[in-house]
Amino acid sequence: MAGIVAILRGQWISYWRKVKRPGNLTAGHQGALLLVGGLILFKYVQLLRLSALDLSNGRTTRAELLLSAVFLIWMFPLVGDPQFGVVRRSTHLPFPFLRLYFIRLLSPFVTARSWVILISSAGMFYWLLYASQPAAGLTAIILFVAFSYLCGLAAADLIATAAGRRVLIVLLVVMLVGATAAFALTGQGLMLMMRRVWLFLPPHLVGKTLVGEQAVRNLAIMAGYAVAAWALSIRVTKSSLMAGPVSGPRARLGFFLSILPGKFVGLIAKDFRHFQRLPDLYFSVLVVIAAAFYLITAPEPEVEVLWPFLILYFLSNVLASFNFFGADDASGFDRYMLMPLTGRMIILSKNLAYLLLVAVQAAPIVCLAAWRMGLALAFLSLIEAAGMMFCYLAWGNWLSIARPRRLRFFRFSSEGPLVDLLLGIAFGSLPGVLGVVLAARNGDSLSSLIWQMILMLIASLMIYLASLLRFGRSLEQRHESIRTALS
Amino acid sequence: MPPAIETRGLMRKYGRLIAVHDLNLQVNAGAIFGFLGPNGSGKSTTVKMLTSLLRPTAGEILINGLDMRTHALEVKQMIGVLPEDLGLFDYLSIWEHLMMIGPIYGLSHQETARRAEQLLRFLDVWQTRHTLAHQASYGMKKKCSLGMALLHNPRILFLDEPFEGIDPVSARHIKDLLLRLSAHGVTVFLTSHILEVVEKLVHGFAIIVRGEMVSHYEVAELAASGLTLEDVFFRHVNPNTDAELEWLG
Repeated sequence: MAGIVAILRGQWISYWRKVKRPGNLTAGHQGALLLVGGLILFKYVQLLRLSALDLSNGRTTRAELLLSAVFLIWMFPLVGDPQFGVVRRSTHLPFPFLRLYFIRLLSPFVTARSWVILISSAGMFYWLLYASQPAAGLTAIILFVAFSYLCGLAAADLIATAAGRRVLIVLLVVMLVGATAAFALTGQGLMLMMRRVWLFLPPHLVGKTLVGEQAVRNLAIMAGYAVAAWALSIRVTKSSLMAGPVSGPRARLGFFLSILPGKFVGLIAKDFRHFQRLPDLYFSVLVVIAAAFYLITAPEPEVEVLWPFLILYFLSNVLASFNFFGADDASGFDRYMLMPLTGRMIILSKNLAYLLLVAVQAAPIVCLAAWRMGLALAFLSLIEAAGMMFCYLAWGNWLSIARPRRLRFFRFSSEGPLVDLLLGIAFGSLPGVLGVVLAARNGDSLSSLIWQMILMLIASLMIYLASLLRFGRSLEQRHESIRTALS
Repeated sequence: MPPAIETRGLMRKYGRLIAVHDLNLQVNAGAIFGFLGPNGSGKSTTVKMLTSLLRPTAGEILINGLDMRTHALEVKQMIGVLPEDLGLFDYLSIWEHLMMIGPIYGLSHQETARRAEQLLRFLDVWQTRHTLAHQASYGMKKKCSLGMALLHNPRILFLDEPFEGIDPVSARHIKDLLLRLSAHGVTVFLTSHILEVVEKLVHGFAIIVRGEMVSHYEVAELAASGLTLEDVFFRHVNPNTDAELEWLG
């Protein structure tokens, strides 16, 4: 026991020093972050109250949605935390596996956000005041929280190994293909099938238990889920620990190196490979798929519908555009500083890597737009995307230097300067929103829309170039503080 | 002809801690210079300042007569660096690191590939060149970083602990290579804890203790006085043997 306490204590000290590093709570808009957190909490409490009233009337829909949100929220601190690494580094200690697993089980609670989520989850006990069978409800909620936590733990440990990630990708592809095939074959039948499946999922079971419907049966199934999640979590943690260090493919950059010109080619290819290892960026692939689906299936696709997809695309790619040095770590950053490149050139190489990412991901949208909407509207869509990209890059050039933070491969990034991110999203999306407004106003007058869009693009480009010049100099002046932030 | 490396009153502070204090050094072109000292004495901080990774709190750095503050880019173009933490990217292979760095120094793709192959064969990592940095052993990573330092044929080399973690055969090859480079006028500034290796390799050396340079010798001068480098080193760096560790063994 003393060994477990010593490791957890060490983790806690390390975490607390990291939190304290900015020096005060005003650094990184911590105060504003608390305010936003407070607002979310306020909304959560409001929803808890409303769903409690629903439960007292026998309605469970709102409670089930809230439970689903709680399940997803439990994923974030676990999948985003590097705590698994701590357990892996403890494998040389004279601990049997169960003790290591126990450390793994407790280590996420070293961070404050896990406690915030736990306390927020405990808020669901409020429903018990309105439940027809409070004891059964209490058990169901406890089982649900345990189930959510253990699922998050299993997912976090699964993505810690290359084999686990492959399993996860295969699972997702099978589910996606299965759903598409089912939709193609049955149409509305899929919705009915999903509704039937939903009846056996934990949020529904907890909701029904709270209103006193088939409580014993539901609790038995919930207990089964919790035990299964526990067994899965043990199994995954064990196999992840035995898998050795995180490994990846021995991929080669030969392809990029041979087709791209210029001195930055290797740097661009390197950054592109980093992007592939950041799971957050795969949300943008989902947006591209949704946009492509719209372009293929809509009888007459319209820019007023397509362009919001582009806005959403850049929003979901924000991790790549707002934290250019995050994936390099301190040692990699040193390498940049040793190269005979000015700050402006270094930032330009990062921006070009982002451009490559956008070009690869968004190419299907532009091609499909050209096919379904004609070349002129595809060209305008390209301008819309370019305008947003320049603004995102301009903000990102500042944010990457002012507030860099370390990103971890194969981990979601659930930390960051929230207020700066939100402001940056608003700034970056501005040309996109402007484009949608202009398109709606101009209606049939394509030529005037083209000129207005080109003007918008020029303005975005000027902002971008100014940022490149300004923050290139900042990079040279502030490289030591950036390195410290990445270490 | 200006010295290859010159520092004047070089100082670096970390808050209240003075890591390097009033360092005045001159290293002539073509010399192999050893910069020695115990752990935490300021060796790596000095190398970082000389290679522009750290900004000095005070003092001047001149590389081939060029002021580091005003000619950083020209200086970076002419130096090769093996940094303390190697400066590698986890998800690039050894080969890709070299292929990435060549064009940045103005080498063509073909020339980079040609030099990279020769270097990796010389350093005995050709067979394992497609290993990603984070999967490579420490020695392989060090060879990769050394290859990156040499690829563009620099006029001045800064090597932070070049022999640490390297197998004896490769260490021997690297020593021979450094001697050959020196004969061709390349200046080598290296730090190391392996005194025997340094003694056989360097033309001159300095010892730094707690941020202050306590000794500066030419090896010829040392040999004439009948002392060894180890004698000089331990004169300035006293091992702490007070603790008896009676519980051990």
